[in-house]
Amino acid sequence: MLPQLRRGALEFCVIALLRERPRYGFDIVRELSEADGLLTSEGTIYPLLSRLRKDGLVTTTWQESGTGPPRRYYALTSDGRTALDRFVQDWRRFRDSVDRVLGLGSGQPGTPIELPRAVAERRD
Amino acid sequence: MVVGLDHPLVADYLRRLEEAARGLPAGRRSELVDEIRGHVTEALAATGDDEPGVRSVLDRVGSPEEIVAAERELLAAEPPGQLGATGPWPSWGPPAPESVVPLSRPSSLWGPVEVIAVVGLTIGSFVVPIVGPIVGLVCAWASRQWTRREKIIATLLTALTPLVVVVAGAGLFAVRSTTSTVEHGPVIVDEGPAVQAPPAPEVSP
Repeated sequence: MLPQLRRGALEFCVIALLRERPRYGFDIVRELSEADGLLTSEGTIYPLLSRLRKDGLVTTTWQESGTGPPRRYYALTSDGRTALDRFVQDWRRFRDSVDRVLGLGSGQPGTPIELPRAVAERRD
Repeated sequence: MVVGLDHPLVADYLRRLEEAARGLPAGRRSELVDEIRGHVTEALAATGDDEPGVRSVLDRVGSPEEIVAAERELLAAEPPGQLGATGPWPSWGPPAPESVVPLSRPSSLWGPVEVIAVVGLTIGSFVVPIVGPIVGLVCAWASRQWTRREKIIATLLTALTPLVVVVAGAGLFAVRSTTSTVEHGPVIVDEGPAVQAPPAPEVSP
């Protein structure tokens, strides 16, 4: 996938994983690697988490792991939740619009981004 | 020593990571190395710390250079949560009110739109009577540099000008038609300040 596209979406996939409960880095990576093509190098998740923390979208706490060294847990803040909600809306719109242009129509597109007339006509 | 971390391949990897991270801010540098060390520990515990296991774990983690490059890129990235905004994306991110509402006004209050607005509302009123002020008002409201309050004042002044002229004209007419009546004198005096009160130049007639 395009690096730009993957990176923009990855940020919110990480945030989405924290929606239900706090997680630690390795746990997040394990979940993400289930999805093909999202995370190319596991280690790059830490710069991303650090950035999310700096932006106030997540907070962190240290917790004992029982088996090894303490783990740093990441939890979603209310700003993070708001950002995720917005992304979900934007993503739906964006996905539907791209699908329509590519002819992969998924039935009922929500509110598609307005297409240039030429593109819209060619599609029909 | 924690399982696997003393494996030569792991030790070598962490040394290379510290080397690569040299240019990062000091606090973040040691933090990043700790995070990767913790990650490798967890991964080895899950995979097994024999040589193939170690190799596959380090391979998945990615090269130190790659991780540090990501760190640098994200440190320098755009405002909060706008990581995707430089690409073909809508502007995602948190509402972050403080980044949406400008904290200070733009340095210059005078762009082309503002100049046209003032010219339209002043000189325009005489040169092209009705159209001039209308163009002026449209430009005034289109201005991104004037506040709402300033725009309302401009509109009120523009709307009041004809009114003031009419009232003043009527007053003069009344004076002329009743020149002998002394009581009407003060009426004109009362009108005087009303005409001069608004500060804008278009009021002068």
